[in-house]
Amino acid sequence: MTKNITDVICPFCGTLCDDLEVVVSDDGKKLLEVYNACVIGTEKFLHSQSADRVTRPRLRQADGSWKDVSYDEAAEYTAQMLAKAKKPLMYGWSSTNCEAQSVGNEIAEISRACCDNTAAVCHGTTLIAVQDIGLPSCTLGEVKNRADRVIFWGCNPAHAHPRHMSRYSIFPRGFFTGKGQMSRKLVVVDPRVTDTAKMADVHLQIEQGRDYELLDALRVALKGEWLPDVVAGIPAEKIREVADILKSGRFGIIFFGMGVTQSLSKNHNIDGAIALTKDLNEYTKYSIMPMRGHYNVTGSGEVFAWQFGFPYAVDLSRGFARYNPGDTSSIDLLNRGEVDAMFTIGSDPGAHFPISAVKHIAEVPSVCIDPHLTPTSGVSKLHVPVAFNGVECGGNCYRMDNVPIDCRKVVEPPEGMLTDEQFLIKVRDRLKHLKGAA
Amino acid sequence: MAKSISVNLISGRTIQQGVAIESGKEKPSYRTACGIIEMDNADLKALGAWKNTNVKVTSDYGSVVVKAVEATQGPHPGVAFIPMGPWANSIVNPNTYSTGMPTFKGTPVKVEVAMDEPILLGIELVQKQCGVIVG
Amino acid sequence: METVTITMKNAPTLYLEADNISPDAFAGKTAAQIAELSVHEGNTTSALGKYFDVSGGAGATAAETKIIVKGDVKKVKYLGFKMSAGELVIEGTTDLYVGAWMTGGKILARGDVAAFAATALKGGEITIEGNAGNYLGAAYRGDWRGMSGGKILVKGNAGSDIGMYMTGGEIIVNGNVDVHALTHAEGGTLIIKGNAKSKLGGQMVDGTIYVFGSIEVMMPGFKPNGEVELEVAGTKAKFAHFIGDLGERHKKKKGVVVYGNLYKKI
Repeated sequence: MTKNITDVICPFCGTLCDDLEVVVSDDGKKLLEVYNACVIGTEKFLHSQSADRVTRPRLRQADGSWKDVSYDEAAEYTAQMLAKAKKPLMYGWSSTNCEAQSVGNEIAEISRACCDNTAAVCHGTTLIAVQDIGLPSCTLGEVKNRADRVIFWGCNPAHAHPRHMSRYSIFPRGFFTGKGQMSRKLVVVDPRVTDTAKMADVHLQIEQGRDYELLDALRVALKGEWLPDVVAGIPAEKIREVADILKSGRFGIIFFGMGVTQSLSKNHNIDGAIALTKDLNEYTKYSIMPMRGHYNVTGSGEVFAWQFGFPYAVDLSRGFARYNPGDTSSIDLLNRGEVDAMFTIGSDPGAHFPISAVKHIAEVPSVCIDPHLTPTSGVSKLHVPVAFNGVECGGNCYRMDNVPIDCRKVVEPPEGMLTDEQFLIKVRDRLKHLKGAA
Repeated sequence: MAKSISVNLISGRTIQQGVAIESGKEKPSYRTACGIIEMDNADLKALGAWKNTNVKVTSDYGSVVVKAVEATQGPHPGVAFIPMGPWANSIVNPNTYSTGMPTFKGTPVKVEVAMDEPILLGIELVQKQCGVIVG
Repeated sequence: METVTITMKNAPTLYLEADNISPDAFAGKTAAQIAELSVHEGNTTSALGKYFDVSGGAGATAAETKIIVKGDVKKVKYLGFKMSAGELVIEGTTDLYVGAWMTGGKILARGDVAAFAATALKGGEITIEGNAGNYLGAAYRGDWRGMSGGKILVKGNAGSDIGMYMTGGEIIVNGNVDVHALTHAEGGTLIIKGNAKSKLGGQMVDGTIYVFGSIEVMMPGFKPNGEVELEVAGTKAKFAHFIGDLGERHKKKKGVVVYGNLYKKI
């Protein structure tokens, strides 16, 4: 007999869907089927069952081959590396639960490390802008029930957050949005005709890298002031027309993504978008929300902010928390050669950092804690595979709208495998001993 | 027919990229999903390249061999797209303007046909550029 | 004025945080006492003398102290941190936070300086003979008060985000500047003798920018407002006048709305 488990949480993207159903074998050791998830979420659950999975820590030898080691040996290696380093970087955290993140923060404090999460290459610039001018936001439930103006700026949920549109932003019939898609006007701003843009009522095919100008032009249009004939490739009349569409709704929401956080202007793009949201609130109700990528990058920001006061790019090297992206942020630390050890957990900088930064990871002592084989494990000295969080162990996670949701364990990990938290506790205890802090 | 053309490179997620990273970055499916450059038909014509030809993409920061495919989310003449991953990151602009964020979108690149050059697997590509000895 | 010369002898492997290298910290100390001051490399704290040779001696007060920094200080941060008086001469190229939170005195950097120089500068003069990095004279992260007084002269080029949230003082750049100069500015003056990139003066509330060269892309919020004859930094010329950023909030003075001013040499 197989067992059906309902209300399972999907640990892939920041939408953190909570309506999955999985079928497991009677002994709870095999995951057989996944329902309701998008194609990516399904793959995440099923890949945990692959037969070729690495189940023991491995240490790279001088000839480049891997040697299997025990979790205790791996914890010893990690603790020694962190104890010796003058400025270790502890990066990742977005694909693990808040409990593990909190143990990681203890380790960071003892080793006086720099800690950073994947916001570094995702919504880090959003966090800068939020600190600069604030963030009028809401929950996804409010979007579903109220929003009749939906703007996707520089994001493509059709590909990156596949169920976002059906659960919250375009199609669902909410309390005040009984006609679903018919009750909403969709505006998409993107230099490509993305699959999201194809569904839009209005698509502004903006000149790449000119978001800051277009946001400013929309704010000027709202104030009814003078505008040049064309801004960012969009005619002024079109900008005024869109400004009127935005103003005329009852509840508007601006979702934004990597198109603005990673293009020229970066934090200023978000700054401009938040300022536009504030301006629109003079006419009607408006909110703005970042489309967070990893399922628990938001949680990592919450845990950092709770324990250190800043949401990412925290430098503890002097014994107190400092934060200044550009100085304390991972890419700058690596590109400038500021760190002498690299600890990666729950993310893949090897694939997602510019190669110049990855080269520095390969040069220093390094540990990679990840259930998968990745470019990061490929350049690290020690690879520690762990149980899949959200599949093989539960724990607290935060959705993109800062709503905490507990992930569920649905299947047993392969025999003898530790979770992130269990491994980190081993490292912490060993490090305490080495540093005489016990 | 030009020997090479200049385009503005952006990178980002695709659903195929999402599936590939979850099914294993060591597998060829990761290369199929991300070791590509999506180009506008007009740009492919200007380059004189057939669809699904290997091309070498070069920026001020490096170069990488990927497969040129027709843009699925176009038209976007003058703009090319490589899904996020090690292939895109071999050539993106690492300048953070002191904000912590590299300029992943908006790198000027040169594309030229490189029919006989191989497209490396993801992990292999990173290891090779980092000089990692593999046993 | 007494002079202390410090010369790098053992360059750090990582980066050195030397927030004690300022006339204020050196004042009233002998060379031996100065060599005892602390510096930080990552999570380790050492004596300044481990990295630098110290010669000469400081004056009784900061105002009577001149520091000359010699040798390879490319990986040294925080030179002239919070200095209030005296002089600091940096012979070579140096790293982040030069003259950050400075309130008085003079800094002369003969090479380049990296990002965050003159963060929240309140007073004093900084001359950079090479190039300046990003966020010159800007606010610290999350603060809404950038440089509020003092003068900065950059003889080379300057990076992005210079004068962000600036409220007063003057920056002159003889070369070119990168994107986002004077974003969010609420006062102060920026003179660019070379060219400006895009996003110039975005979200500017008040303050003045003069550009002698070209502007790559103008912000849409800047509206043409005629031409004027002006004398700027010793040059008399005709300038096109723009007001903005029209998208941003603006204060009223005596019933008249105050805008940021952008003058571009014709």
